[in-house]
Amino acid sequence: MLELSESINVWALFEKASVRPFVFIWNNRKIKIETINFVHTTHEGSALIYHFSVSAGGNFYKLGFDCSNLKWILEAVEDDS
Amino acid sequence: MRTILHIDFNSYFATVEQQANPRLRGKPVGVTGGDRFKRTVLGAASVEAKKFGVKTGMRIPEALKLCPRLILVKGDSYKYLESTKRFLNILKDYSPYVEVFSIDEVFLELRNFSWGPVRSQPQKCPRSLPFAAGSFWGAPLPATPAKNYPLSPLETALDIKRRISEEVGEWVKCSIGISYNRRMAKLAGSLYKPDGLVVIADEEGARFILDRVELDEICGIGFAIKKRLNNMGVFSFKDLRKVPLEALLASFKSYGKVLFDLSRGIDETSVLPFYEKEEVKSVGHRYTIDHDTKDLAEIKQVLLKLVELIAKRLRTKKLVGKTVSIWVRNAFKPHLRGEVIAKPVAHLGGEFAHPRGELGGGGFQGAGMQATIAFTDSGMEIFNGAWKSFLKIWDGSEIRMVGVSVSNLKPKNPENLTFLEDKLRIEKLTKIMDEVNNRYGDFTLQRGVLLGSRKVKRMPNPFLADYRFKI
Repeated sequence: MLELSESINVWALFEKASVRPFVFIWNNRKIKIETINFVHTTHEGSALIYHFSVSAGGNFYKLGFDCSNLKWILEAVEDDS
Repeated sequence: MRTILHIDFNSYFATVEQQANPRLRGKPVGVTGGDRFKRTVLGAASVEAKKFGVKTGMRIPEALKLCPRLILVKGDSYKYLESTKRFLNILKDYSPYVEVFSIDEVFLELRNFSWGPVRSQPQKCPRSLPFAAGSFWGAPLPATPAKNYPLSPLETALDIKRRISEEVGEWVKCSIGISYNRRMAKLAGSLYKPDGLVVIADEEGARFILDRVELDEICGIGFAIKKRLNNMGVFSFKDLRKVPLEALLASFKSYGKVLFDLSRGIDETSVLPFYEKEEVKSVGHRYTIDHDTKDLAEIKQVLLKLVELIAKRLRTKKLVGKTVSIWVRNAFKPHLRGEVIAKPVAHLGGEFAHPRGELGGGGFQGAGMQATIAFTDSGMEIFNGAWKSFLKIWDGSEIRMVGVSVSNLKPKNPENLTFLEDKLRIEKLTKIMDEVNNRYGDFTLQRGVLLGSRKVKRMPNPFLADYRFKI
């Protein structure tokens, strides 16, 4: 697994008290999220960060969403390359 | 009559990792610690890895020797805590009596149930135990729901399994044991893994099971007690039942009664709901360094960082402590042929042997010491106590792990404002540092001596020592 900390553009749905990413753009590719396998949270100081473990095209990605600045980070990638 | 469910997740950390990353599913996975993952031991092994003989607590080279295809995954305690929180949210729908035994083990007590006559159809026999005709173990409990609970215990267990699959993840499995007391529920839950469901309905069923398991397979009998029992000529629960209570009391003092009851499937301890958990008895941290070191400046930095984390937790909890314990573990040392392996003494020291180690046998030497200081929540005062002890126990050899804890805790009483300028300045500074660090993360503001030190991050331990769930 490749660990990253790369700022990315994410298409996301904010509904009620939840957030759900459905597409993200990485390396000029639009990647459609097929399943969200697990969601957990951590705190960096007082900032709440959501971590989404997702699958797309047989690959694994971990996305982080920082609630304090509304920024998305690609945290890890595991693919066949 | 009480009905207690013991719910135990199977290969918990590894299973949660497989849930998060489907590419790991069906593969041998070992979960290990953080950035130092090549040097720590396995925190968990997946069901697939266990088939190769890989076990929790095993050194990584040893595990890789047994299973060269083992995939090592960096553990993430927050992921496991999240999973436990979701799971507890499910359980609270069935009963308020939920005891969090550890991060992956929970007792649930269902009250107001009448067990009624037990249907005696046999279930699948775990571990090929012979089914005794007429015994009740393995028989489902009757469906006689009380007003407050719409489901019987067995239906409750099945419903919990279904909801875990839906709400925590389809890959996360648990074994559930149902019985009339805590110990028998735990024993029932341990009989068939993964994804087991076993009922021990009464004392007769309990005795049937107890007569077919080892003494140390039940919670309450560890290595030391088993050895003492063996020395008394007791090798099974059948033997244990023959020992008079007086003899057990003479040998084990008050614990003799526990053993007497255990052998008969009796246990009066009640489920302790998570919101009534006992008060914190100690606050501590330990850290495995990513290399062996005897550099005093480096050890000092690591120790001070650990102490600062402890002091901040004490201040958050408004506690002060006066007993400082420190322990160190030396670098791995292979045993020479014929060398006698010392027995582990306490958590503070001793030797931790790995007789089948990569190098043909070896272990970690360790040492520990306690010191008493004035009641405090100050990092520097705790550090001074810990450092003095460290210098007394350190033999100058390379170390790989250092740990420190503060016990003998009491609530911090409001104090008169001090007129001592220095003390007042330190108090103000500490308060400001805590506020900044709470907002921007630990060690955003830190002592100058820690600048350039390695990153130490607080991670919750699997036993959730002072963790309170808010559900």
